[in-house]
Amino acid sequence: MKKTRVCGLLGIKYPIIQGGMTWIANAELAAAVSEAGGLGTISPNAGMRLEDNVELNLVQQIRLARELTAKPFAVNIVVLIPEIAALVDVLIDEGVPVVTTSAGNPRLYTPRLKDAGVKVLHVVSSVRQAQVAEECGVDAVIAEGFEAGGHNGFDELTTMVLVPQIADAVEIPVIAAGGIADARGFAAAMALGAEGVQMGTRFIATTECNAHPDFKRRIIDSNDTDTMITGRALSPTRGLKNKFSAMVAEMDKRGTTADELLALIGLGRSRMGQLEGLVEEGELYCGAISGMIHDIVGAGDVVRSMVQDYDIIVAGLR
Amino acid sequence: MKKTKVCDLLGIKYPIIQGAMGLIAGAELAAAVSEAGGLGVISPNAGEPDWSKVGDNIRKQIRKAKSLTTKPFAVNFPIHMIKDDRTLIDIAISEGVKIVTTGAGSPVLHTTYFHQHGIKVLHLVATVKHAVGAEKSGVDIVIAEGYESGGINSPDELTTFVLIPQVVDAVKIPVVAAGGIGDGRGLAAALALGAQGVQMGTRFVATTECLAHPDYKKAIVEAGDTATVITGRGLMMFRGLLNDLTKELRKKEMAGAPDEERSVKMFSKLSESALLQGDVVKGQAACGEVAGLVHEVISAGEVVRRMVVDYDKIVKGL
Repeated sequence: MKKTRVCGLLGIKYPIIQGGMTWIANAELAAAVSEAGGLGTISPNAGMRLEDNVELNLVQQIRLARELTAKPFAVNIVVLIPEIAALVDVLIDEGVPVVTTSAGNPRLYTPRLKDAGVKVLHVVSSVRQAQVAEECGVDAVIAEGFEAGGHNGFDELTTMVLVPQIADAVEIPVIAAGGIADARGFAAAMALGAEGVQMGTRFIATTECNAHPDFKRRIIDSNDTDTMITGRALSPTRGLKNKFSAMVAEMDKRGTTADELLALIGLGRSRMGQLEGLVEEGELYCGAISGMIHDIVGAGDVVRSMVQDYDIIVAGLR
Repeated sequence: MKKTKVCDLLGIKYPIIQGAMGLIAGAELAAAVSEAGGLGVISPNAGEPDWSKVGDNIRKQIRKAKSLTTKPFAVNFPIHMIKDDRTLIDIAISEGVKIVTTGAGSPVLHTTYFHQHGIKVLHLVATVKHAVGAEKSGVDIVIAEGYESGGINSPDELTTFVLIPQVVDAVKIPVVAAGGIGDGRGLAAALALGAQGVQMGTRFVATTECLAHPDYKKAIVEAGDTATVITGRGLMMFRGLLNDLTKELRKKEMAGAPDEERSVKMFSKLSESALLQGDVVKGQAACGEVAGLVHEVISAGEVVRRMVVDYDKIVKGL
C-alpha cells in the first residue's frame, strides 16, 4: 500500500495505529504493532494494580517497549486525569516520540510536548474539536466515531460522517478510528479522506495484549448487536452487554445523574472487567465492530493481513 | 465506475439508489435519479399526507415518473403501514412497477407475491439477523442502513461502518449501504466495506426536484456535523434536525419521562409541517448525520454524476 503523510510524520511503514486502551495497552502489544510496521501505543496504567504508582508503571512500560523494539511507539494520555502533569514529565524525560492525547483540552499540554520534540495526535469526535486541536498545533487528529469502544463523544457522529467532514475542515492529517477491524474498514477510511486508522478492539483480541483471556473470549464470541452505549448523562461509554451494563442502562432509562453514575462505577470498574476478567461485574470497553472479530491472533499478523488485503480490496474497486 | 451486481440485477448504470423519504420522494425526483443512471424510488405518500388517499397518489406518481423516464425506478412500501393488505401493491403491479423497496416490517409477508409478478425486492435491514432473515424470505438485495441515517432508525444502533461488512459476511445476496453517505467518498467507502451499491436520502432531499419545502432543504444545506439528534430511544427511534421539538423530547428522555411524552408518533402532522410546510423549528425534520457534508441544493442528476466522477478519482488515489 502507498505511504501517507501519517507514515512520514511518525516514521512508520504503515498508517495503522493501535489505540491506547486503558489498563490493557501494554508494552508487549505496542512493541508487536510497531515491529510489524504500525504504531503501537502504551497506556500509562497498563497492567498495574489500583494502588500502584502510575508514573512508575509508565516508566517501566516505556523501557520494556524499548527493549522489545527500536521502532517508534506512542503513549496515550487522558488529559482529564489528576496525574497528567507528572505523566507529561515522564514522557518527555523518557524521550517518547509520539503521544496521543484524549478526553481533555489539547491546549493544555500540546505546546510543552511539541517543544520537547514529541509528535502529538489528539482524539476528536466533532469538526469543532478537530479545528481547535489544529489551532493548538497538534500534528494529526484521530477522528473517533460513535462505534468506538470506551468513552465516546457526546455528539454521536459515526466514522462514516465524521471522517470526511473533518478531512474537509482541517489541513493536518486525519486518522480514522471507530468500527475498523480489517482491511475493508482500512480502505473505507482512506476513501473517506483519512490518512491512517486507529484500532482498539481488534488489538485486544491478540496474543500480546494483557487483557484477561475471558474478556478476549467475550469479544470473539460477540455478534453485531452485543455492544451498547450506557451512561449518556456522565460520559457515553460503549462496552459489551453484561450484568453491569444492564444495571447502568436501567438507570439511564429512568433518568439518572452524573453523580449517581460515578458512585456506581467507582474506581477501576473497567480494570475489573478487562484485567481481572470479572466479565459480568466489570466494565468491558468494546467497539461495535467486535462481531467481526473471530479469533485471537498475533498483533503483527493483524497489521500484516490488513496491509495485504488492502491492496486486494483497492484493486477490486477500480 | 465499475458495474456491480446491483447494476445488473436492477438494470441500472450506477449502483446509486435514492431513498424513499416519506412525503417528499415524488416522481420528479425518482425520475431524475433514474435518468442519471441511478435508481429513483417513489414514496407512496409523496406530497399526500392523507394516508387514505395514497392509492390514487401511487398511481399518479408512477404514471408521472413513467412520463419522465423510460429507465427503471422503484416504489417503496413501508410494511408497518400496509401490513397484509395488498391493495396498494396491486396498484403498483397494475401500473407495471418492476422494482420495490420494503422496510419496517417482515419481508415474509409480500416478497413471494412480488416475485410472482416479476418484481425485484430490496429490503431494508439494520442487523445481521434481519439481513439473514430477509435473504431466507427470498429478497433480491438487502439495504443495510446504519445509525447515522435520517428518519426512523433501528434500536440496535449499528453504524454503517460496522453493519456493512458484517452483513456482507452473513448473506450471499448483494448488500446496498445506507446511512451517512453523501458524496463520492462515501460511495467508495461503502464499496470498500463490501457493499455493491449505496442508498442516500438526505443528500437527495437537497435537490431541485425533491418535493421538500425550500426551508427544509435550506436547513439541511446549512446544517453542521452536530445538527441532528436521535429521539424516541427505546420507542420509535428517529433521527432528525436538532430543533425546539427534538431538544424538548431529548430533555424529557434524559430526565426519564414516560414513553408517551418523549416520542413523536409515526406520520404525525409534525413531519408534514417540517417537510412540506417548512417549519423546521417546531416540526419533525428527518435528517441524516451526513447533512454536514451537504452544502448546496443541486439537481438530483448532478448528485449522481458528481459521485461517479469523484468515485473514480478517489479509487485511483487509494
